Amino acid sequence: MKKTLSCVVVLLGLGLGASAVRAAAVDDLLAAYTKAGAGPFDAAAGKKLFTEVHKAKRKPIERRCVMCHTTNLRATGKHFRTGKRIKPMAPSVNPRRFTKVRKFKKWLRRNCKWTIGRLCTAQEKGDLLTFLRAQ
Amino acid sequence: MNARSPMKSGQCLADRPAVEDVKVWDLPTRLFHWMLVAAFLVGWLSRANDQYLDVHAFFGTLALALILWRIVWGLGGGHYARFSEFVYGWRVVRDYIGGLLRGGAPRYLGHNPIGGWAVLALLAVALVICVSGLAVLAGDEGHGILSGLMSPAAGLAAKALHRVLAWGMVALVAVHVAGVVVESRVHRENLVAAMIHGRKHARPGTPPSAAHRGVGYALLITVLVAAAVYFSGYLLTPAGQRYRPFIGVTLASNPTWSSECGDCHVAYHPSLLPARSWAKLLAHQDDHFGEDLALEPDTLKVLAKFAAAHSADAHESEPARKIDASIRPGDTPLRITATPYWRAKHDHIPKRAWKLAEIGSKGNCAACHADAKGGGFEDSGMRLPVDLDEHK
Repeated sequence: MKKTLSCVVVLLGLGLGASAVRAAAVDDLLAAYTKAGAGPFDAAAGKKLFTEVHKAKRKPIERRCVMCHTTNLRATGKHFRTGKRIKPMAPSVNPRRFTKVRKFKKWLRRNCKWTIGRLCTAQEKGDLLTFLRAQ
Repeated sequence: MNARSPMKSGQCLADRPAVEDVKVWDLPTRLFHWMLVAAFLVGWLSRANDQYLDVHAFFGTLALALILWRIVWGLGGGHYARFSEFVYGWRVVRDYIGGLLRGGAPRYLGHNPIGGWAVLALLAVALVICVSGLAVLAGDEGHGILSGLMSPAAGLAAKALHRVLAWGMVALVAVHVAGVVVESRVHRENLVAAMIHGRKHARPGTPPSAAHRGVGYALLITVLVAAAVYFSGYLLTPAGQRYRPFIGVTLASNPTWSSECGDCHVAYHPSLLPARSWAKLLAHQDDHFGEDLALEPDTLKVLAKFAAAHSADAHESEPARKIDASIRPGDTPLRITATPYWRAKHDHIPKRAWKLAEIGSKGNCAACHADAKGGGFEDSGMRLPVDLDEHK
């Protein structure tokens, strides 16, 4: 009984610890954006950025984040060109989302450039992250 | 009894005394004949079709086994099946031809002289076709009994021989069929039926061939068991997975390559493009088909090293060799689907197939190729995931 109890405690601790780490990555990013002069962050603004149409010069002319990530962030997405399956964006379904700062930075850089045509500002990044982490 | 003594020239069938049905072709011989027909037919129909190479290889190997068996049977088997019974010298053949042309050829109970030579020719050509086929399988694909003994170049040479002889066999078969028809007409008997039930009209008292039923059944059962074992993979593979009859060498992998390149599409194995193509792609990562990859320098280094070590130039696989050979020396294709070899292999797929939801694009190798991830792209490992006719 004692052994089981201590196992449960350890696991609980790890779980809490993991979510603490998760939260840490997101908080680190938000802190960095705030430091750059952005804030307060607005999830609704993030959602708008994520779903609205952005016009590009090359085909496809109309680009949206949801083209690949779909409007239901809990669902598996699909790369609109290659068909590659993309794991859900929502951390509630895919706990590994937003746990690595490096990864988030890479994708935001690549995908902002492609979708919007430029790098996202610190404000936009903060809004997006605030919106996405709550899904 | 001398089975070689034909009826006297000019002796009309109507003048003969009563005839009786005599078993001439024993069961093993008849089974052999029709199994070889089936094997050649299936082999012919599945020719030059990568998707059915496993079927083609099975029936080719079956044909080889049958021919080797027939040679043994011809040396020590059933009476009329023995080579000594129907293989004649040139003089007899010449006289027989002369007799045919004059309209008065003698009738032979077993194979007639030309038929005898035709049998040898068919067996010989088929034998070389089968052996050369094994050489192709070994050199070109790296599989089968001879694998390890044939270089890719030898495999290609064997392929040329294999193809020429296959057409030669078709011609021989045509001659054989014509001969059977002519002989049947001339001597007013149904030789095809005779090869099915084995019986022919003969003078009373002609001893029949022994039935050799046991040998016949053993032959048939062996073939069926071999087929069941060979194709059992299709039944034993769990649902959702595709059976891969050919599994080649495992190509090198790299976790950085797999995760970075596999982010948006199949992580194309470097063996699918020459080194200069990968170098160009990585040098222009800011415009990777419209995207800025923005990979960090140390990541790029790892990717560049892996690509250079295992590009198509290294010839580590069949696709690598053939893609590399097909690209003109001055060209630097940036798309695998732009290489001449890829185009040649996929031009039979209708354009609308690429747009289907299950496939998506030409770049989605994994939609059809079970081993796309590893880079092997073995024959018989591909299937169209949809029935194209349903998507008209």
